[in-house]
Amino acid sequence: MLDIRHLSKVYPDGTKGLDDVTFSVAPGEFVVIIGLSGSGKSTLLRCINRLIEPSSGQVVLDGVDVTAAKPGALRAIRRDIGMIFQQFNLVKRSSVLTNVLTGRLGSVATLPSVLGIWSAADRATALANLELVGIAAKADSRADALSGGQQQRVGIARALMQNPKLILADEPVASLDPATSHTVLDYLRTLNTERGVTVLCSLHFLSLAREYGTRIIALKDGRLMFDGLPRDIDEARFKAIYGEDAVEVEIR
Amino acid sequence: MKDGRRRGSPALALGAGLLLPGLGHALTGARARGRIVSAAAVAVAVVAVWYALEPGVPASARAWLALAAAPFWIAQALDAAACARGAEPGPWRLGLLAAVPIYAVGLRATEPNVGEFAARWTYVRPLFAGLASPDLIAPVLTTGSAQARVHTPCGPDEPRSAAPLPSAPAAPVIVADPPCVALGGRVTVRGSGFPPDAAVRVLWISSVGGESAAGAARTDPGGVFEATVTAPPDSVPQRIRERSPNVPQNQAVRALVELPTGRWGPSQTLSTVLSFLGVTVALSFLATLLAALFALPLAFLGARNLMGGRWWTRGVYRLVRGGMNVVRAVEPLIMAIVFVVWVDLGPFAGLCALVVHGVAALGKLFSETIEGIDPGPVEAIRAAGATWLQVARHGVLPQIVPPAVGYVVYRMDINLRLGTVIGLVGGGGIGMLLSQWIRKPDLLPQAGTALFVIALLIVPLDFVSGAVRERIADGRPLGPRWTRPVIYFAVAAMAVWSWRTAEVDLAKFWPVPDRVATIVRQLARPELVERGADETVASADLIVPCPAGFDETTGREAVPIGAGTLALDRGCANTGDGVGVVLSGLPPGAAVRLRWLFADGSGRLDAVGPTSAGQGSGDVGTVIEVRQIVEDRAAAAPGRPTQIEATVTVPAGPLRLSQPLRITLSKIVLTILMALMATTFGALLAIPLAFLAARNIMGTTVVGRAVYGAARLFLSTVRAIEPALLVQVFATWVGLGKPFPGVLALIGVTLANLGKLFSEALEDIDAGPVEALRGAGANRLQVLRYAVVPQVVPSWLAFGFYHWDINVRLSTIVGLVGGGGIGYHLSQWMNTTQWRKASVALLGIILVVTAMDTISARLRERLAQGVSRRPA
Repeated sequence: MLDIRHLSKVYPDGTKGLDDVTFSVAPGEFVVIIGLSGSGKSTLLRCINRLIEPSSGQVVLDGVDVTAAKPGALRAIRRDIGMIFQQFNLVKRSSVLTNVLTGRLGSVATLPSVLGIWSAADRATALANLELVGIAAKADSRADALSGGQQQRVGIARALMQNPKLILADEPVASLDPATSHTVLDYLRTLNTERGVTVLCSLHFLSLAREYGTRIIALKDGRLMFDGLPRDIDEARFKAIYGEDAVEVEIR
Repeated sequence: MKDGRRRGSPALALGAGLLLPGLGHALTGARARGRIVSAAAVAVAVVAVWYALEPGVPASARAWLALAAAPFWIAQALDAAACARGAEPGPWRLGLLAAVPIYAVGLRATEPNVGEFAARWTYVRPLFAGLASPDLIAPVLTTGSAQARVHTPCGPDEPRSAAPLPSAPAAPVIVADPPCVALGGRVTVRGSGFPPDAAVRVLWISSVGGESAAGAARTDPGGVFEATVTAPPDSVPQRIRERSPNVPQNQAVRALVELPTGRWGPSQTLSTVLSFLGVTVALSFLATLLAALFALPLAFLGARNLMGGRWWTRGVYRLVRGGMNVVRAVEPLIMAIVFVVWVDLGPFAGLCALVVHGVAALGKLFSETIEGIDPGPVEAIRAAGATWLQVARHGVLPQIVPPAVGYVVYRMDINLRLGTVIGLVGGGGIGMLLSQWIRKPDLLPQAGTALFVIALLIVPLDFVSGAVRERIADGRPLGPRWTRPVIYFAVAAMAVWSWRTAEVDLAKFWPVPDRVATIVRQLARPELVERGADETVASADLIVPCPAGFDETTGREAVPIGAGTLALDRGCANTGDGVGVVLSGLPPGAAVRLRWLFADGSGRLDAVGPTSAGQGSGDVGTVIEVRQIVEDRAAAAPGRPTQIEATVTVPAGPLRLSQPLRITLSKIVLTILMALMATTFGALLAIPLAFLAARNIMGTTVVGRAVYGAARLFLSTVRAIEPALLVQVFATWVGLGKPFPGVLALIGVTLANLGKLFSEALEDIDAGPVEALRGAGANRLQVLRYAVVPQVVPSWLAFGFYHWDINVRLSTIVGLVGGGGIGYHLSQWMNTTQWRKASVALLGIILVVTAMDTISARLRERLAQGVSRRPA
């Protein structure tokens, strides 16, 4: 469903964020992207929905060329791609419910949404999604009154509002403690297995990648280093990705 | 609060709320909300009562006001009932309803006159034309001129023909032939030594110095010309022509050649502006330097951590800090008015005002810096047995130097801005020039040029001072090592130049002129209460001048005045005589006013200043001098006696608020309303500008960058023009002394300051939510509404309150230079030397400014707490 073809990104200061990356993702996959900080994981995810403009190459989603889309078409494409962020990216002073509702912005008319008017159906969906991630009771709280794990669940509920075909998750658990990390990733896995949402998720720790990923892609200095099954990453590959001095740690 | 629990009887809440706003909440447990509702109700009531008491308010307007306040009254009672039921409705609706009557009154009270605004545009257009295309450079001219005297008419033995014209003189020279002539006669002007082939203008210089064009000519290739002119018949004043027609009057002809050299140089306007601007720079530089020098020792006495210890040191601390706070609350412009009286008009008065205000402002900042230092070194030095002074020198001073220098640079920036307006009240510098130019319609383009040059000086300086302060704050040096002596030398040289340019004259300080002592005495006795007064008037005859053979001792009969008598010590007097006036048997506390009363009905003339009877005797004796004007006016009705009229005023009846106090109270409410209107409208205008001036909102496209740059430049240009200058502009536009120009000027200030602060808040937002919403397919407007605006609202509100506070302060000085409100009355009273009334207005200003300061600080604290609210 997702084809990445020769994707490159050169930043204005000359650094290569991505260097000729090519791979395809089939529907229903849970692809984990690993790599060191600065290896291009965030750049790759953001090039897919063009929060960052790629310098060259193509992103094709369900036969539609994302990289060539005009602004209006791009918004329509983005509507189908949910995104989850390391820093949650919630509006801290707005209520949890409002934050979740903003996931619908790509699909509702501008004027009523700017005036703060939401349909009853949207509200009901938002509450249902909050129910799904287990924090419906916090709907009226301000976002900054929630713990980190709860905030990330709001982030997931917000992405669910888009009813996405694809979820891009950029280090969704890097700011969370190990126990909470598992809760959040379990929600993503549930979406993946039960709703058939394709997930592209970058992670820091290989142990988490092995546990949740159906497939692993490794980046180093913007280049694709590895593309295969979790069990295929042996000691040699690990050192190639993370460097000679790295030691694999287990996250439980 | 959120649990929906019923807290009290809704019926009770409704009834009590209808009875008294806030009572319903208080009785049913919603105390905090009740307090806010009560405060809002008090604000509405104050505004409503104030408006009802204002003179000239039609009854219908009062009815409308009551109608506008009713929804709030009802809504808060309903709100109390809802709270009692356990609900918690949003506060916005209630706030809006309370705002309706307040803004209704505010709008009417500021007397907006949009028609005038549009109609007078043609009048002020030259000002803006001058601002848009300033008159900065002009062609450089070489000039040649020469003058020759002409007598009108000829004296008895004057030569009737001119001396011969020297050939090829070193400088241009002319002769008038004949050198004397009757008015209306013709004179031939011959000149030589002028530039060749040039147009010559011949001017007639009258006996009183007036110039008029008299003729024109062209020089030949040898630089020689000849022209014939007529002696203008009206060049000698009519009185002299009639009284002494045969006395020769000194007049002259002047020949003038102006040739373009092909080079360009500063225009006349620019040279004038620059010379006045030089004074502004000098006095603000010197004021900053002196203020820093005086503030430093004071700051040590005003630092709590150094002045702990004994009761008397704490006393000194309180005294110093309290004094600084009071002085800081008095605007420099008001101080300048006082110093103008003390040391006369000119830069020195402005300098004094800036120094005094600067000492208080810098002193407070220095003290706070000292209070924030690391106590470790102080403790160590104290432990080594150092004295207080040694601790100050070695433990404290090294720590405070970098931030203190930063504050001094900041103050220099402020003083330079103040230096551009201190002249508006006579304190010297560019403001003095501008206030003269802006009043004359034909000089409006020049005034525009002056404004342009001011902005040109201040805008870059703003950037430089910001950069310097940033470097100091980061602990970076200002430049390589060798720059240090260069900076010291430059500061010293600037100080010497400034001292001369600012016309410092310490001799004017001391001895303190009597008038200053009088002013201080009167300022110390503000006229807060007054009594009604009983007035009795009587007059005694005096024949002026003394008729021949008149015995000056006759006709001296005492005239009854109230319970007492009025008597003169002579029956007739000539110019230069002193007339003794005795009033006896007056009641205690009586004030006496003496005036001449003329028989020709030409009115009254004050004789001597007011005099009051001593506490004990009830007698008043004084001598008044017969001046020439008295004799002149007495001569207009010969044969009838002139009179000396005495008015005795005795306080009677109960005490009541004095007239100046009533005016002050009323105008303070007006001032607060003016500030509120200006803040609201300024903030509303600032919002769109802030978006345009926020780098992250405008993006990286060429158009975005250009709009961003233009918006930034606009904001800093408006901020470069001091509020008092903006008032001058708007007062010229829509009329002096009314609230409207003041509000317009404040709107300008608010929009510039808030535009900058708002845009900085926008640039500081967390970009994460923006990214998230864009990723979800939201469009630009939706991103602004859901990711940007919620993040900036609390800081925008805080800035808004903060600026309301600033605007209240500013609206006092805005009035000083013609903008209405309390400042207008203050300046009127000061200009007419009614210092006891001025004192009341000053007290009012200090009180309201301090109160607003406290309230706004509290509100901002609340908002800040709201922002950082975290789960317990």
